[in-house]
Amino acid sequence: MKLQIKKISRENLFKLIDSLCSEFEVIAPVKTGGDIFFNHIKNSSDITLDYINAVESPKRFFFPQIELMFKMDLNELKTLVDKEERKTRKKLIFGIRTCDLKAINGVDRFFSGERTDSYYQKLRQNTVVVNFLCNECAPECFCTAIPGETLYCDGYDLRLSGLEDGYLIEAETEAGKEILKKNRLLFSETEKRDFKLREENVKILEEKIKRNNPFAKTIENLRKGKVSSKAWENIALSCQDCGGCCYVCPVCTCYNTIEDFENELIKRYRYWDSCLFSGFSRMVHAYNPIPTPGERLKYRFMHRLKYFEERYSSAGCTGCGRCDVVCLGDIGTGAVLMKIKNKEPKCSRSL
Amino acid sequence: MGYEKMNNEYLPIIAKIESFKEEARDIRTFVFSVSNENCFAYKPGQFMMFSVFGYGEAAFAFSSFPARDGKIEVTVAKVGKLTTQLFSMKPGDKLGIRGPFGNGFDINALKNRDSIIVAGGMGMGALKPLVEALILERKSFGRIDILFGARTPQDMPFKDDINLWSEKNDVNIETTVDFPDENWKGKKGVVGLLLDNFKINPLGTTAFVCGPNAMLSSVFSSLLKNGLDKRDIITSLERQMKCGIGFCGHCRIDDKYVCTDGPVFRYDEIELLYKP
Repeated sequence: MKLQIKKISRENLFKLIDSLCSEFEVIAPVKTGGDIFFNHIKNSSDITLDYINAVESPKRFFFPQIELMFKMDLNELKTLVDKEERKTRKKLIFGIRTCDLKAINGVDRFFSGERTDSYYQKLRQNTVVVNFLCNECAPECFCTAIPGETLYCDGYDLRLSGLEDGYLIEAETEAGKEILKKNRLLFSETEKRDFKLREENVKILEEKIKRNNPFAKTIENLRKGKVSSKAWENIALSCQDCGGCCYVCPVCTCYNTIEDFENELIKRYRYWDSCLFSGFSRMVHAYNPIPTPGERLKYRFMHRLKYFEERYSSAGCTGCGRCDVVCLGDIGTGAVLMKIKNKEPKCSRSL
Repeated sequence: MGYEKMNNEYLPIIAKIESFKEEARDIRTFVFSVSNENCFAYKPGQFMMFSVFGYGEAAFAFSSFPARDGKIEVTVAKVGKLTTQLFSMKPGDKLGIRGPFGNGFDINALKNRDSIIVAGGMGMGALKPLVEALILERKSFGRIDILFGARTPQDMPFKDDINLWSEKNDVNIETTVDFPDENWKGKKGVVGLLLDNFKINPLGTTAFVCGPNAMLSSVFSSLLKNGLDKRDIITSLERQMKCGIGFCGHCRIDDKYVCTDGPVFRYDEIELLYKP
């Protein structure tokens, strides 16, 4: 499918967002008490374009933190399914950074294949994804420090790139082209120098992120299993067992289930879990195949940086750095890679 | 689109307890009737997810093969909340099932080969459907030896089935317990010891091992010492599972999911777990 590229001014971008709000249920970056979150918006005045990335990824819109799976009526022993049709309005997520786009691609692949996760598919289908390329990076960002990763990623419907005097807007899919067509009066034609400028911006940013996070070689060593058990145990000493890294991770989708009574009605929910919890793999008679904090940390890192990518041909860690921001023990992904690289796998806090 | 229009593999179907049999101390074989025919088309080694409503869901292997008269059998040990609740249920009571899941044993690959089955306690539950599949076409397969151990004679399940195989189906059985009582006629000691004086034709034999973790490492190393190829040693693993279809993440071992890539694995696929 041929790419379609136009240019849009900042003023007209807000008009485009207003137009999208009339057609779609729009989810976009919103400033709340100084922090940026993805949330539903009514019109373009709710949105902020002045952000590096949102505190949380848009994961929860497809994979809620707690989700009702089904109800079971114990008197009749029948599964009662949610008869309420979800709104037929299509969803549009605006302003996804490339790291989160990579995550959506990966989770899409994870939850489909020979078997599909119907709850995820139900929330994910009919969603238009608008990617917004980064112009700057936060201290925690390390996306392009992962070997082979760039600031570009396919899988979007529309992509925005910031220029000095507006934005490039590209449509990759039919859904994206349809939006360009419907709102054609808002766009102008592109010029060669727009692309040159974008190319330059992207190159500069990619190099800056690589310079800030010089651990490409460390990731290769980690993938080859060259990090000792002792190093993992030492690093894991500062793990607080909070699970925050997994909750904010845009690619983490492990869940647990729980059942709740309401008279004769049983409700089964699923909720986010973390492989760093000791109960994650614990079985009867307290037998635990992944028994120590160090082994659990290794289990998580090997999955995120090696096995996920091998199995689903999509990045298991997108380098968004949210785990580094949220970690109380200073052992987010970036921090751990630096500790391994500098051979200082000592816990930074005395516990 | 409603849930029902999509193929939602998370929704359990209802199964009714028809009867149960006391196999050993705190071990019962439950017989369930199910209205959905998909549940009967299982392979030996596959498993189902059982919902005891209000207590959650857990994975159990089918413990007989094939399904007879629309009924399936599952052998359960009373070890936790869900199984304790299951043990309090009576014939006529209902619960939920999903499945079958997992890869199962490759029976065709065993044609004209000898099979040696090494099981510890409840581990026999996962291997019993395999034995039953072999004796369905007994002439197509070579020798069948079963080495079976348990803690005490009271903890040994499937005694009736084992006697039947031995009498009628040309299956050689050796049993051992760690702590014998005065009536015990088998051997004493862990099941791995039975392998020490056992003659195996290393090229023509496939070994199947299932049991508690403490038993597995020693049995694997004795089989290797007997000259078996790593690819001819097969085991069935058990892990915590919440979905059975590769999504909840609980059963992952490195790059494999026990629920979809297993639970049956060749030793060469999982040997890192058992390296000392």
